[in-house]
Amino acid sequence: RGLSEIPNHLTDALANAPYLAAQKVFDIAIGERVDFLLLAGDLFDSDSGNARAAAFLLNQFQRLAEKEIRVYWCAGETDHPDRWPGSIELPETVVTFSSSLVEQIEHRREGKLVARIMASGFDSKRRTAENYGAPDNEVFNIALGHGEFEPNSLTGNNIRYWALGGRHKSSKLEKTETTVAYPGTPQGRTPQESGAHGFNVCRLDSGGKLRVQTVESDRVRWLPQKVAISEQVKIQELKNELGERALKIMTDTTDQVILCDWQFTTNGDFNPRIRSREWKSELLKWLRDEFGRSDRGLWSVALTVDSPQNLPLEWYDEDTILGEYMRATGRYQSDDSLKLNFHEYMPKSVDGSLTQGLNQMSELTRVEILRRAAMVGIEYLAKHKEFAESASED
Amino acid sequence: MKITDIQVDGFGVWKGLTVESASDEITVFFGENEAGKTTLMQFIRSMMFGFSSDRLGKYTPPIYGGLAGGSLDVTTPTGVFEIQRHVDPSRHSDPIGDLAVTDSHDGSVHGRAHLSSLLSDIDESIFNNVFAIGLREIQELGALNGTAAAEHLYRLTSGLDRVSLIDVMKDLRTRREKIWGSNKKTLSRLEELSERRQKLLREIDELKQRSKRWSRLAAESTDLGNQLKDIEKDLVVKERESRLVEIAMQISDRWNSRRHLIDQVNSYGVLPDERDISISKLDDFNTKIAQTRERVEQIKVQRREIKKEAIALPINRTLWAQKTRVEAITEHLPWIESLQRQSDRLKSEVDGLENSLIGEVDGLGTQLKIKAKDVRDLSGRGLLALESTGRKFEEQQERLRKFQQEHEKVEFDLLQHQDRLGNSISERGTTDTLEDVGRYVNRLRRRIELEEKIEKLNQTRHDLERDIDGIVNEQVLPVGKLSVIGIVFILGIIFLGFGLIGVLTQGAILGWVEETSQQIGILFMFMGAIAGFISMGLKYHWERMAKDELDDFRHQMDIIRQQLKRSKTERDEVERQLPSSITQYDLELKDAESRLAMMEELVPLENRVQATRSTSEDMRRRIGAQEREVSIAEDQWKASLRTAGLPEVLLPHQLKEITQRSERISAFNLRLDQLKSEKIERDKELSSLQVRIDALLLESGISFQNNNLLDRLNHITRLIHEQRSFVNARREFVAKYKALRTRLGKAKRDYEKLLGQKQRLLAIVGAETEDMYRGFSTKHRELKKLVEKRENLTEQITAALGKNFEEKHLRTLLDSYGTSGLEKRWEQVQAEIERVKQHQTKLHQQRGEFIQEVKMLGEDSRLDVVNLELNAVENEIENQQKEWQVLAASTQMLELIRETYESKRQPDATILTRDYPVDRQKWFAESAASAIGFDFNAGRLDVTPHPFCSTIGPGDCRITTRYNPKFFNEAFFGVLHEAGH
Repeated sequence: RGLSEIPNHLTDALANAPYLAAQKVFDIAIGERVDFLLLAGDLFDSDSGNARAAAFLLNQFQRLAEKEIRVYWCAGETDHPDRWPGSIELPETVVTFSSSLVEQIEHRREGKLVARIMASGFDSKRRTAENYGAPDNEVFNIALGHGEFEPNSLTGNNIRYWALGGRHKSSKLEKTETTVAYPGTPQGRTPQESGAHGFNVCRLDSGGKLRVQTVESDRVRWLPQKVAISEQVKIQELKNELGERALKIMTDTTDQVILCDWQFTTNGDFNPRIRSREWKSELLKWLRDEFGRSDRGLWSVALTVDSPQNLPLEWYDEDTILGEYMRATGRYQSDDSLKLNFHEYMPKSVDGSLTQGLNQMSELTRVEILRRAAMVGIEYLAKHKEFAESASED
Repeated sequence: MKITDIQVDGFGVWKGLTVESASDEITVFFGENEAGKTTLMQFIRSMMFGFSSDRLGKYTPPIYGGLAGGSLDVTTPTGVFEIQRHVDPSRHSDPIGDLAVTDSHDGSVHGRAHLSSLLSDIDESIFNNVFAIGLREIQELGALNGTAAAEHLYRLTSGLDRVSLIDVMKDLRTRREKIWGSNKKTLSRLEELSERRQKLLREIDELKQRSKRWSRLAAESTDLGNQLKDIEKDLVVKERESRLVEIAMQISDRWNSRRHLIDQVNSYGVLPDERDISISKLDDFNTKIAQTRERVEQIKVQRREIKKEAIALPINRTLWAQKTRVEAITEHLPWIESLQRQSDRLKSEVDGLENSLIGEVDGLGTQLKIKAKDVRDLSGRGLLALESTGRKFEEQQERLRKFQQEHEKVEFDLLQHQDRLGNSISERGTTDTLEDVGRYVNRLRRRIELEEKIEKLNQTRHDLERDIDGIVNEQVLPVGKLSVIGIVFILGIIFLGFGLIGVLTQGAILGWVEETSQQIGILFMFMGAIAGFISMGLKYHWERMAKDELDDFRHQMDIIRQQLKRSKTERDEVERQLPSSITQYDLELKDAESRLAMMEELVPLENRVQATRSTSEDMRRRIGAQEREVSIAEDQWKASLRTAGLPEVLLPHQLKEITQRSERISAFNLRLDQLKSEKIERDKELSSLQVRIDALLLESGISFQNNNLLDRLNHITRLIHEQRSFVNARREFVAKYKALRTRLGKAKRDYEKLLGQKQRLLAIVGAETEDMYRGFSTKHRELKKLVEKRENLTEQITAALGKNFEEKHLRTLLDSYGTSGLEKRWEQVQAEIERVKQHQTKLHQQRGEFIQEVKMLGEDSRLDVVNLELNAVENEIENQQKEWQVLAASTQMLELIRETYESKRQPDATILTRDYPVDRQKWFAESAASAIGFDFNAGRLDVTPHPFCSTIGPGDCRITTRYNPKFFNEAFFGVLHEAGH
């Protein structure tokens, strides 16, 4: 999510990324000959009606079954076992759990009890951590669940490891007696889920100490880039700087397609030029042409230049159209009672779906729209205030 | 500033266009649409303000080739100038291009700054918005009423900010409508996106249907898989049956044969266990029974013979009756003999003792010079007290004797060792000690070493002297080195000479070029100087090296001399310590070393002599001490004798003799008395025994003449012994007879037992007779053969059945279908297999298709792609909506400004309402109409209340207008409008 255009050469990479990331989870499980695999929900969205997801999971479960690796799968909000296609049986090695109570499963290796798993699917009533108590701490106890828990309650109860789902970004909390881990999704889906994504591989060493290793699995990675630039920056210099940064990112991440949102923060005297559509589109085009044309490259999603909170004050005092414009937007920004009448500009016959939400805008949206409107005015009316790219010559 | 000439080298459609001598007043360009009017206008603007990116993109490179750009000739109050500007279309970032402003008066070339001053610093924005009024604006203005015209005029005035508010608003509207507008011909961006979204949603619905199909097919595929498993199982069963039927057909004959054999076996009924039947055991029993019966008969015969022999034995019963008494007396026979022997021995002992006693008493008395009568009392005098003192005296004497013997032995050894040492020394013929010889050898060695050292030092001194001579010679420099220095030095002189000559004669003599002779001469002089310096340097360096080396050798020479002197002094010192007669030190050293080696060999012998001598001394000291001990013990002994009243001459061993003899004499006396009384006792016992034997002989009726007691007793004993042998013989017979009876009984019992065992043997198998028993055995043999045949057939059948089948399967089959029905059954089974296989193939095919489709559907990524696209479309819709909102808000702001301008900042429109004389208005209108191409030769302009255009006929077009002296634009724009028609 969060992309408004999909370049053709990345379509397959983007569409397949979640599958390839998940594939890595299963590959590692087989390669490392793990005892079992814990899946903490939201593996797929049953409402999406996507056969590929179910077929993929079925294939992977069968692969694990051939290696006799058990799967403990507690449901999340979108993948309750009841919504699994009823006509298709899961392999016997896949164990699913109820969402109405905490079930206890003992995992044995060659007849010897090695771990006890307390698990329950997602419960909208927010089941508390106390429900996951283990009877004793003679074996390695694991709690498997989905959703949010009161952080202070995730201790004691003889649980050594909390394998939790429901958060898309990875987080881990190591306490004295227990480790609470939200490994996140194997593949980041939105710009908000930026950075590396993966899963956890847990090992118990001979001394009974738990070692948690995070393995990266994402194939597409959102990496927002904040770049501080001068208002008077020359485009060629900026290209050099961005080029270096892009190359570094590409060198650091060889396996992933990078989706990059360039955000420029500025310093110096306000320069309308670096906010013009032409300037930004030229830079974006250059970035895409230079680094985004291969299927393992860096695709620049967007490029934004931060607008300063306060524009040059003298512009507000000018007896010009620009001054009038700045004063008018200033009035609207400071006075919420002044309405923005979009209806006046709407086409006479319009598609109803497109008008939805146009009038009911949040305060945040109004502020943003007015700030951008101010920039539009500046784009048209303050061309003469632009700083030239290069010094004039005689 | 006025433009006089235009030269277009290349711009858009124009190539090589020249417009010369434009009018001083006004120049109008007109032509058809797309004729290139706007291109020409843009060209003029480009010449004045440069190539903006829009113009570069649109008009360059020129369509018909040529260099992009051209020139304008302009007249200004400051003079006439040519503005020339060209641009390379590939250099997009350069709007200025190659600009040259040439002053026609003096030909000076200026740049951008000068052009800017010619244009009164008016930039393109101001020019466009203030001075460049397009035809469209003029036409619109003329056709509009006062308010609309005012707007247009306002638009002109609002351009004073370098921007046109109306243009901005128009541009915003265009942008807004591109995003979301109501143009029915073209779809706006949002409409496009909306359509795309609808399309994607429809596709998603379709794809979801495919997902459902995937679920259904997957389930059906699983069902088919289960069916196929069932079919495979069924097929296995059927093929198994087919195989069984085939086997049954192959082995049906053997099966029937075996069944016949089984019937035969069964016909034997139940036979006793073969293991219970043993013919050999039966035969064994029969043999044993016969042998036992024979033995019984033999024993019976033996018994009869023994009985006969026993009766024939002569036994005296009277004598035998006295057997006990005779045996009792006979038992005394050894005693009687012993008594007789004791009596005799005692007699001789008594005689012997008496003689010994007399001898002892006599011997002792004589020895001790005491009376014989006292001898018997000696033991009572406390002789025992003397014994300890005597023993001590004897021990001391004994130790003294031992010491003396050891001393003698040591002395003997000493003599031996001394002799041997003396012999060895005399053999070697020397009197020196080992130490003397060792010292002598060391001095000789040192003398020889010093001599060698002196020789070496002398040799080194000679070498050094020779080296020093060599160095001294080198200090004068050898010919070779001197030659090198000389050659270099002479070369230097030659170069210097050449140089000097060259410089002085300016190369004339040497044939050098005059201009360069000076430099070459200096170069030669310089090279000559360098060669001179090198030769001097070499000389100094080699001399210095030789001097250092000489000093070094001289220092070494001094050291060698000192060492030589020290060595000679030491040699003289050593020689003084040696005998002066030595001439050959080497030979003397060898001799001395051999002597030293011999001396070293005698060292152990000498040590031994010393050790023996010290031992001898030690022994002598111990003998002296022991002699003193003996003397003390002797004194004590004599004192003890005196105390005992015995003579002092008495020796300790004599005292022992006295003691022993006195004891023996006392013992002899006592013994003599005992023996005598014992002899009397024995004689009495003998006489009583004789009386008893005589009485017995009488009672037994045996006459006997011999008076000897022992003879009589022996005779009667012999008779009794004879009787005993008869009695014993009879007893033996009786015992044998009894033994035979026992054996007879045992043999009879064995016989009975064997008979019983045989009966039991028969009874085990239920045979009443031996023949019956043997009959069972015969039947068993026959049965065994049949069973072997049956087993053989069974093995064959089992082998044919293999591991997969058991007999019960075959039996069931044959029971069901019989041998004759097998072939028919086989055909039935084959037909069933064929039918099931066909069904299986069909299902396989169907399942394969399903799996293929399931796989295809399961791997279909289209839904993911479509979802991805839908998401992007929705994001874009959101973005566009926001952009639209931003543009709408911007427009709203601009509207506000416009209202403000309209209400508060109305432009000065009085220019339109001033007084303009009608005739001047008429002239201006006619000029303008003519200028835009109205041919007044084929038409005319008149006055009417309402302006119009009318074509009366070919070549006669009439236009009308009306004049208002207070409103200029009514007549002017009206004429232009009508002339346009």
